[in-house]
Amino acid sequence: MIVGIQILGIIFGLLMAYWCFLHYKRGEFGGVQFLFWEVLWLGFIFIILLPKTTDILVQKLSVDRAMDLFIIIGFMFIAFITFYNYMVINKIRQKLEGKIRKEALKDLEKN
Amino acid sequence: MRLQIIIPAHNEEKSIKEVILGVKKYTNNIIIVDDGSKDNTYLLAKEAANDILVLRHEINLGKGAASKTGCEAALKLGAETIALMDGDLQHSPEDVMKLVEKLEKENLDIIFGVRPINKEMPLLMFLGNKFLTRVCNFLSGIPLNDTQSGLKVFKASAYPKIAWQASDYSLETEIIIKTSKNNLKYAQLPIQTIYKDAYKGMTMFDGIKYFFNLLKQKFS
Repeated sequence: MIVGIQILGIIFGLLMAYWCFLHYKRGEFGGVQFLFWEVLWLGFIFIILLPKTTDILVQKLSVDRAMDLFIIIGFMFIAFITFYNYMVINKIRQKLEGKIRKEALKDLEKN
Repeated sequence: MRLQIIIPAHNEEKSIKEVILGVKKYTNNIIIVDDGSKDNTYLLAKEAANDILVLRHEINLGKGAASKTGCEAALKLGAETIALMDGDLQHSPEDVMKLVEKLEKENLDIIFGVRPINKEMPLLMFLGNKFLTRVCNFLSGIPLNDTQSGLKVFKASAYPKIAWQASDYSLETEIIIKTSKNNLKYAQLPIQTIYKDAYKGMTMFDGIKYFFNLLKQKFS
């Protein structure tokens, strides 16, 4: 029987999969990128529907419950995304600063 | 000594003209960097004098980035000495010249203008400044009375050693840390400061950010 939290998880997974589909349709995602995210979100829904399938992994990693494993993976994923975003933003900031500076100094270079 | 005075300005239409005219009493070598102002700072700076350089950032990048643009322009113009001052009438041009004189006389690499930390300073700024100054002094080993002052003068030859990465107000502490790391010859001189707007410039939240930036600079 599907319990409340599973319904919430499935709705979340479906919405995310649909969001990826929209991005793909708008041409903002390439085929491979779309496939990667769809597999990820469908895998997420699959695990929510059949949490027992993770039992082997849970035992191998010496974690008490599947839920604990999800939370740990979730935190690791958030930490990764935060770091990744920081790096990307930093890179974009430096590029933007360089571009704006070059533009500001353009007239000076002409003289 | 070829001096260039750099004035980064962001939404300073009320003061920029007065600042320019004040500095022009001493030198025409002025570089204004309008950092993406939404008001008429750029036009008013252009109007104030024909013989100064007015540069413009299309979007607001921050004081550090604007100061850096100014320094790069100064180097292209063959500056030997570079002065950084604020565009909000906080600093007096007389003080800039005093700093320049001391830099030359004592053959320093960099000289910091330090504000009196007294009751005239807004309370939050006073507390934040006290804290950041102590931390910065401890980490850099340079005992400055005020680490957040925007008025400083340095030799163009020292610029590559202190060139900052910070695009915001963190440039002040980054310069101090780099002065220490590169063993540059430095001094400080008291300056007068007029506080115009407590909500402009550095805020408490900036202070927290700069604290972490200070640690990053020290250990990077």
